[in-house]
Amino acid sequence: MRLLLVEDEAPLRTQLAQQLEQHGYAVDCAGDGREALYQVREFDYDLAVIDLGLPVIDGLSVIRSIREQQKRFPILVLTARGRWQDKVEGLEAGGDDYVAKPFHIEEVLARLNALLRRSGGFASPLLEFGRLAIDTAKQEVRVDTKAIEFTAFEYKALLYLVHHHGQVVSKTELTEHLYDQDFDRDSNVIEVFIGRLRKKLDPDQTLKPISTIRGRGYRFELASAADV
Amino acid sequence: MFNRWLLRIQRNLQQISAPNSIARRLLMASLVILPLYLAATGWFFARSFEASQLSSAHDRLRVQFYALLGAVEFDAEGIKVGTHIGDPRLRQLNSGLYAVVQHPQGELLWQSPSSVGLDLNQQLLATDNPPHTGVERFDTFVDTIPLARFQYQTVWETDDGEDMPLVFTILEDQTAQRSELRAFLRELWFGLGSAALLLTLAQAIILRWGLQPLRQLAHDLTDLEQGHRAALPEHYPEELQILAANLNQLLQREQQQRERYRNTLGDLAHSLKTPLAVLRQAASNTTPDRTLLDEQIQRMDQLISYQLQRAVLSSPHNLQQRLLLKPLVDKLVSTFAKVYFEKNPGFTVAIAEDCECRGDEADLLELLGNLLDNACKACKRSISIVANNSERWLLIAIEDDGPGIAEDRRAAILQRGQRADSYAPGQGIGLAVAVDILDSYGAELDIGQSALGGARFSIRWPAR
Repeated sequence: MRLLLVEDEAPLRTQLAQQLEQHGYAVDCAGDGREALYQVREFDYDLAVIDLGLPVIDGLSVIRSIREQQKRFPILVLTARGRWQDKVEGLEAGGDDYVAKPFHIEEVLARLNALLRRSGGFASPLLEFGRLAIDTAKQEVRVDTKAIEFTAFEYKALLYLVHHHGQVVSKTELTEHLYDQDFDRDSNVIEVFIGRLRKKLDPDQTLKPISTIRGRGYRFELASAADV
Repeated sequence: MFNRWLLRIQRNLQQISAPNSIARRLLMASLVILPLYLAATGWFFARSFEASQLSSAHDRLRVQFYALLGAVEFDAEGIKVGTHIGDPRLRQLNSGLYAVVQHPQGELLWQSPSSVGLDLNQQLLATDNPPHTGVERFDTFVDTIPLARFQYQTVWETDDGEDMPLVFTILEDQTAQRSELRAFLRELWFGLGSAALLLTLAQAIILRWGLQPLRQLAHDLTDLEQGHRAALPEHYPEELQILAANLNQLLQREQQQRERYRNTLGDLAHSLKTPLAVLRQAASNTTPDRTLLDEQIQRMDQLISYQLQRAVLSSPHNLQQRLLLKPLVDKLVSTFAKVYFEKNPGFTVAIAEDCECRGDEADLLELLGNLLDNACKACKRSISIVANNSERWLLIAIEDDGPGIAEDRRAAILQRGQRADSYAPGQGIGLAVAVDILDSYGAELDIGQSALGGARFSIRWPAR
């Protein structure tokens, strides 16, 4: 998941970016509002974490401007001031949830997780697709109650496909949303990973969770229990 | 260079057009208005004096005419005027009163002895333009001397039964009247001029006297600023007393606010010492206990939020604006709908569109935000917010269908919040903040049992 982190305090930004990366996000950072708006125009994000007190262009204006550009990705508002007025303003401007400083990284991760689920149309942290179940809180994947071990990257790839279930996801899109900006796009690593995912999820080829759409990309085919 | 010069001129002009002093403004205004007023008065008086002069000359000449008319006799030689009747001045050479009787065609029939020395020219007698029969004509003009002229044409029946038209002309020298008018004007302008001077002087004195309290106020304010006095005295005239009282109130509030900031800062500094001490202790350990650190950090965070909230609580309560409650609650509800997206509590809001609340928006958002946050946490699926305006109170009730609050805990919740020190770590400060806000507005909070099954927080907010 590609995430934009907008925070002007460099130490906090670096630390938070590191922690988010450790938890599987591809993180881009911006130190002020103008930079943030530039990044939003240039790249496609799945999530944003935006501090309200930003130099150059303040956080509220950044959020408003993002929404005016019809960008729908979830925004988590960081606020140093814990007053309800600030929170209400942040959410009115177009934020989706808030975390007050100082925060635990666990709380930020939980909120981001919830926001992602919400934007993917899932209500609970447990995503169920028939025999396949993904617990996004614990980062566990089960098929027929049997736990399957994934590497962090495999899990990320699976989750991205799951969040866009029923849609065709191109290789480029997958690369962009899973890796940091400087990743070499020519590699066929994605194909390898998808192959491994299929093998692990569906060793006997009865589930067929991911199909290849020739020339366009991949599609997660299973229907969510919540959709039925 | 030129620009700067232009700017200076402009500034000077502005200073001239609106002097930066009330006294100077009033004085300048009266310096414009007073001369105009006095000139108009003078003009009016001069005109009416002149008019009355003319009208009395007219009357006098008419009387002379009637006297002359009575004295005219006809005989075979022509007209005769009885010398016994009429003004003696008519018989005295160059007396200033002259009479002439002539034929409308210009033939001179009779002239008073006084007019013998007079050059009875055509202009003097208006021979080319005699008055119509039976119509008086009166005018003034300057020949060699200023003259008033009365003319009348009448038809005289002679003894032969013939009708004979006659034009009577009475002339009066106006030199005396002219000099009388000049003397009057001199006196008038002198009088008005001195009045203007006196009035201006009087006004300057009145202004000085009238604006004295303002100067006093400025002086007192300087004293206040320099710390020679704590409040403004109460001896100002009525108009300023209100201002002084307001200023005093403002000062007092500012004083209170400063006091509160000082107390808050003191409290904050004091209350942060304990967790800091714990942290320092922990830092000297080789393997710091993360839970301990967390607890202390959380505690410090809460202390800071709580004390800051207390400090910014708006205090000048009679300067509060009226707020519409419904949009405020709607804002909060849409916020909570986002924050508690997964729990998705159902909100029932029953507030009239015109329901008003007096207070600071930030305070109300904080109060209702904290209570609604608690309700969202506690509820199973529904929350209701009801507000009603009565004459003295605005009643707001927030209810949920959660587990409710046991009766023995209710009083404790309401009493919390006097000092943030007394909080156990991990305890939310939301309710404490809410209680503080309610206290500062003189509002009341009551915790009870909701018909929905959970807790019911009832607020009684003063309506004025």
